[in-house]
Amino acid sequence: MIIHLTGNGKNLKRDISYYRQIIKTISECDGVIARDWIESAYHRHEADDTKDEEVDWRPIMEANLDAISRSDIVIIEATNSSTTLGYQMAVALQHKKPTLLVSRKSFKSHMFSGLRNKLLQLKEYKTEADLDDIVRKFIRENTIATKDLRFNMFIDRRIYNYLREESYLTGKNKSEIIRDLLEREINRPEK
Amino acid sequence: MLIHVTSTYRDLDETMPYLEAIRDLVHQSGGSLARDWIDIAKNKMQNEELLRSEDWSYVVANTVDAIKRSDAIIVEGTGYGFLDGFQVAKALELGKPTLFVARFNISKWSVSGVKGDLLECYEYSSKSELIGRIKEFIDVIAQSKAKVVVPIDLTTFRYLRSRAINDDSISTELSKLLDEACQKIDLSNNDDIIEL
Repeated sequence: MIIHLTGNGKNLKRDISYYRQIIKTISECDGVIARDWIESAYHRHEADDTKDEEVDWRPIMEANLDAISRSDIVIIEATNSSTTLGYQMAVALQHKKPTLLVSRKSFKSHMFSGLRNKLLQLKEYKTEADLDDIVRKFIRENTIATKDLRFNMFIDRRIYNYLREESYLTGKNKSEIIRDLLEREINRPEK
Repeated sequence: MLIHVTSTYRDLDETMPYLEAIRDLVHQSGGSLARDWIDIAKNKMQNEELLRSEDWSYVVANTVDAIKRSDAIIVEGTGYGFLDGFQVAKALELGKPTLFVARFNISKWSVSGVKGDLLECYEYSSKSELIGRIKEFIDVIAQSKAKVVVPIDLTTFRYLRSRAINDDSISTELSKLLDEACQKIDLSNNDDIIEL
């Protein structure tokens, strides 16, 4: 499973242990990080050779957006919330990616606690052990076998007739027609 | 013209005069705010208890609804709020022209990496600078044409062509026909210009 992990690098010296815990949990769950930025950002902060103001953010944002589109799920460390994290969260949800927002601060006073989306989970944590539990549970909930899945579907005669006719006209089998319809629905922008 | 103006609650007392200036300018231009939350927030700032008991899911639902209804979005992003970014993404997804203004050097912050054909970012340091830029933005929105693609059959096409034979412009002829229709149903105030 490919996972995009993002957060605010502002207090990385203080937060590094939590990021490392998330990465550890991801790798223990056989996940792969879509974009491994944390250690390099941490070393940049440690060395203090490049300040945040001197960073060219455009390629970084592009890489983040690319990572979101490649990922199966997205994890956002939002203790230091920012405009960019809100943007990434919205893009992840637009791409229909299950998204986990974790924070050591209470969500109650934040406006974004009012976001309602079936794909979004907001979780508060205090310790690295809490974080491990939350991330592990989220990954487990969203792990889907990569092999083809199958299920039985009950349809009425009207739908059956439609599928049979479409199948005859297009040369596609009925499953392909249903898959195409679903793909179209998944890619349809929300209005 | 409906404009959605938004900002984070963080440091809202400092941003409030600028938000009020934006709101006044929208009104002066004949527009309206899609969600007029500014005075409500001002009252709540003076009463922390009210702010703590805020039903955020109601606020967020109204905010998203306001974005959907708006012709354009203005984000005062100096507070660097999480939901500011969320709203920028939502607005761009829905194809709404978006202006992000802030009192910091945007190019040095990570938000400078956000791109979109409909997104403009502007750094200001005074109210007069802000007003100038917002006015420019609103003027462009107010003047933009509404484009409607109308599928027509061959009979209708031939009819329009025959009506438009003098100046060879079907869209002009169609506009005339629509003008006549609007006058008949008393919709002459409609500003939209139909292009074919």
